Amino acid sequence: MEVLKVNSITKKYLTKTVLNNLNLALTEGKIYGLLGPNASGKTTLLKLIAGLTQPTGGSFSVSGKQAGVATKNLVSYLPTINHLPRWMTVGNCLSYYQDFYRDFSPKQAEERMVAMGLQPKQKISSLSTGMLGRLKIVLAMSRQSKLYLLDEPFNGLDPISREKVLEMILDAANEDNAVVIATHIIKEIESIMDEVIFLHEGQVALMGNVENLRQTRNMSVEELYKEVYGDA
Amino acid sequence: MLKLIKYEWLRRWKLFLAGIVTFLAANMSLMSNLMQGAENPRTLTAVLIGLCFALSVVLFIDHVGRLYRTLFGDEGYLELAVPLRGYQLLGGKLLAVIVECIAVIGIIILTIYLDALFIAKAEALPFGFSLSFSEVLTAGQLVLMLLSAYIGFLTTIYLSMTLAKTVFASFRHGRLIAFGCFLAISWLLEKTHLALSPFTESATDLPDILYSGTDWVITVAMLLVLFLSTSYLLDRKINL
Repeated sequence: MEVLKVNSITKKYLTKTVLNNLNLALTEGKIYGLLGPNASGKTTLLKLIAGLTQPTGGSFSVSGKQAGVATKNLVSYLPTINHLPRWMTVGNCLSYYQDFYRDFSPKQAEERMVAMGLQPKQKISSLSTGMLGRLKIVLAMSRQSKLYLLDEPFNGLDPISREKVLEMILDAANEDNAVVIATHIIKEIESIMDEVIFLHEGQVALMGNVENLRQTRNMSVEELYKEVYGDA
Repeated sequence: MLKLIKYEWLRRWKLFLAGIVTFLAANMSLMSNLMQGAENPRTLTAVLIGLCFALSVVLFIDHVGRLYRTLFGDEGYLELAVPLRGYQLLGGKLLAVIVECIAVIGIIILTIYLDALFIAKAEALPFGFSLSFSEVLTAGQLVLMLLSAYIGFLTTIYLSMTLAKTVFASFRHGRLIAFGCFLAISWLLEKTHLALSPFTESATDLPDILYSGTDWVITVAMLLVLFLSTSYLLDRKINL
């Protein structure tokens, strides 16, 4: 079943076109890698689906529901920046998610927090980049969402943290949801990706099953990336 | 909406507490000096008034900053991603502001009233300290007028900031254009109010400066227009 359907979405900033008549359809039970060089439109696309920016043209739906509050209920978004207020404690963040998202599982979040070495009384302002990355992923993945949008989830993380984050993504991904990971670190997610989407100048340059692409093109995703964006 | 208020207050309860304690301490200091027969209480009174003014400015900056942080800071990625409608988000913020203003006014009025009672009792004044019902009613109306004017002013600022992150988000000088919009909206609201209501600009006496029924209708209508347009933009046009 289709989780996300993007119909001819365009996003323009005065003279600059970031997304250009983009069409996309994502199905349940898959992990998608959203790849592309800087300014290819990855973050804009994720922000748009999360409801943080509006398209200039076109539309999208999540599980058949048109963009709005209904889709925000279904989408769990992890931005690349630190969106958690510095005055909050880790415990406050958990309460915040519990208060605003009906699909948030506090029990699961607490278990994951412990596994990630986070304490409820720790202040956001005192967390290191790695610990903050861990907390952000705990919060995003502890929702029972239909669609997870993870923008550069490995940014600033050490190898151990990356491994833990990968484990959590695999733990949350199931037959009823879809996970989209936008990243530059292809090697990290190559082993867990089912499908890959290459964005180039606001359009889908290439999309397909990772295994099929490997076999038909006889190269890894990273090599394919270099081929697609060789001159970018 | 109420959950939003919870986090607004969780964030700044220390600021409120510090403000209230400072105000009460300054007031107690003034009162004890007065009781000890300070020859020139004017300086102390001026200090207290200055302190009230400074605390009000801090509170005002904080009120403006609430939506500013959401729209122009990274926290917007948290607040605007939650499944809330624009009116719920804005309503939560404005309701918190209204409750805070009422609480601040209440604390100031109560303190002044208790001070007056204390002075009257300590100095054994030959007259009692009392307020008639109509005086209380007039004061209440005046406070309500000031509060509605403040909320109107704040909502105009909120609308202008929202314009900067919606309609003018793509523009290089979007914030400057939004500031121009703020000036234009303020001018338009003032002119509309004056054109529609019998309220006289030159009025200085209490009964004349109080709003009539028509003034209240116009004020509420203006607040609604500001609130609904800002909510709509937050809901449908936001561009972080």
